[in-house]
Amino acid sequence: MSKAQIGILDLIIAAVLFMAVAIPSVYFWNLTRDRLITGMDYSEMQVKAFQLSDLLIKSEGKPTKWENTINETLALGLAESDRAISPQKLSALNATSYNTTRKLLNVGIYSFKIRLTNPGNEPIMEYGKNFTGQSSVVIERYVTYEGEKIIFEFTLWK
Amino acid sequence: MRNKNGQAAIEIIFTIGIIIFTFLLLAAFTFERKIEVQNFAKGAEVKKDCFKLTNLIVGAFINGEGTTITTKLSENMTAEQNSLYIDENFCGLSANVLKQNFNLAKGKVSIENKNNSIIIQNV
Repeated sequence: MSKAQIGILDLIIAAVLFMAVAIPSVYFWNLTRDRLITGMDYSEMQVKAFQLSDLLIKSEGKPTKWENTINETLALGLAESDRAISPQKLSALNATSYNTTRKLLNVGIYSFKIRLTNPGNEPIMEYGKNFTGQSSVVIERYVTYEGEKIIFEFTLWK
Repeated sequence: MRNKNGQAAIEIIFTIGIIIFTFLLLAAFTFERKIEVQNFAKGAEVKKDCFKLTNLIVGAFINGEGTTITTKLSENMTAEQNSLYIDENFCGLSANVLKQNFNLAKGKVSIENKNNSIIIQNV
């Protein structure tokens, strides 16, 4: 009876080496792709946070006296002039529900928090939701409020 | 001369089959990843355009009446209410400042703040 060979040692070694290269390649490819997507998501959040902080501290809103009729507000703005926060608009924001503000700012899937502090980090006002997510972007801007220089902190998170 | 018969052993056919199958798998994987990279790169480019336009729109709104900004779009775009759409991608505007919906062709566009509303049109 003739015997046949069904196992080739060279082939088995080659196959093992091949798998040793292929499997880590697939794993690192997926890892790189996930990191790229996370990076892009974070960049998107940064852009959004900059836009929102700019809008709030540089614009009076639309209409400019939106604090008198919140239901007719199309765009929020806290400024009485460039980077000077209006006390009336700030009070109106404080009196507005978080969900209404979210819709007006069109934050989408994100949540936000606004915090005004004096240079000694003592809080003047806080509005929004505290961070309970996975990633956040914090923007700090110098503004004036009632003649004093304060810090306007805007946190966008998800 | 006596003819000798050869035999293609079943083992070698089996082995060649496995090798071909493995390389086909590898080719399919590589092709799929190549398509993924191309789509990803295109999506990133489109998102960049979208963010650029939202920044300019918000900037035109902040800078007030009479502000006009000119820029270039690399793709056709639709602006509706609070969102800009390019293909399947969209990005949201931080304020309801668009006067109406706009369909924009790729190329030069102007963003104008008129009566505290933003008008976007091809130039």
